[in-house]
Amino acid sequence: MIDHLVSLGRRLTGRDPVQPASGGSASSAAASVLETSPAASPGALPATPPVPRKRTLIVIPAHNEEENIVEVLDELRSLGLEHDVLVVDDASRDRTQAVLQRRGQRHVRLCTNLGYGGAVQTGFKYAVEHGYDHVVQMDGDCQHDPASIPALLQPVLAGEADVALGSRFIGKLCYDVPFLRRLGIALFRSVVSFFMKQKITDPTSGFQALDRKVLEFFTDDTYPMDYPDSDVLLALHFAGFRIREVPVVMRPRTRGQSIHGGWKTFYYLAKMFLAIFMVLLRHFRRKIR
Amino acid sequence: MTLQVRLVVFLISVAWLLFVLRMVKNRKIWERYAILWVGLGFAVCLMPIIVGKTDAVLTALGVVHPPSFYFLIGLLGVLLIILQCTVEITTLVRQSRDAVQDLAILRERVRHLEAELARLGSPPAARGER
Repeated sequence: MIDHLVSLGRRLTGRDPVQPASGGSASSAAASVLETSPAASPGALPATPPVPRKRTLIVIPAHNEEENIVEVLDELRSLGLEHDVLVVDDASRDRTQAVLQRRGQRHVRLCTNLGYGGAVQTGFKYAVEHGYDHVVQMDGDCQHDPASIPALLQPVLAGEADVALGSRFIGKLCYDVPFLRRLGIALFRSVVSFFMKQKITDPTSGFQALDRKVLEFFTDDTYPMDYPDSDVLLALHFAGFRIREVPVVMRPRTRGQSIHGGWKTFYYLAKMFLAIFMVLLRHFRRKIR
Repeated sequence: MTLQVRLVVFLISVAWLLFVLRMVKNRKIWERYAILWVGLGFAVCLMPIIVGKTDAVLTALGVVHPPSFYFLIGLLGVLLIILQCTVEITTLVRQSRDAVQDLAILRERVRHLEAELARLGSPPAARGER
């Protein structure tokens, strides 16, 4: 199909249709990461090598977020960030896709619901495939303040960390975390901090900036389809990636339904403990070998 | 166990085994998934023959109630089959996840290329060119 379109494009224009596109178009791929120097005239010194431009993609997983996604995208637009934005519509049953199409927003739609992790991983795969250097992962429910993105990206862009984890507990928390959730976070915070030998205050945060190496690490089977939280942080740590927490602003969810809550809380706790245990088991087995 | 009961159990077991083999023959079950079923079927066929003859051995091994031991073996066989199904489900979910993700990314790429082609195919003025 793509070959057919490409050849059609060639016939129409006499050139390859997949050109570096303005505005960070999706198919600009690796070609557009290079900002070349002006064309050299005959006899002039050889042109300076192309300077790679770092490209960042903001990945927003969304499941039934027709009410929130518009606000998130408007906020991002108002900030005037130069990053591309990709919304991963996780088979929403509401009008999320229609809203995205109407806005001309770049998005991928999963034909079946994969869960939060599956949607985020799709964004990672997309970023790797399209040659992005960094990804900012944020939720489509308005809880993550886009104004925190520059601060979140800074350590990753500066090469000081491979993962910048947005923390609501060292940043500004604009709402009361329910008791049970707070208890869970405290529990996983202790476990993660103990094994990482590094203080992590918000191991369940989904507001993160990631380097390309991390994206490549996540595109295989290590990334869970439902809740990528503390287990993923530990796996990253054991794989040698540098993680740093950055203060961010998190706000309360005002509309729509959270992926946590109800009986899912108990599933989450049980699954997370098992997943952490498995990460530790794999790590110590590797160490013994 | 009387001879009649043994015969009935044996016939049922053989019928069950033949049913499984027929499903494999008709490709309703692939061979790789049928191995455990066929193995268990053969074991059940042997049951009416060995029940009673192994009681002395089992008692010597400390089994107080030999029929319970046969039930345990049957239960373990069924658990093994369920475990195999869970492994297969995990593999299938992994494969369908990858397929769904790739499909979504490719769809976006096709949509983008189609838009680009439509733009290139339109008159220069519409493309913003002079």
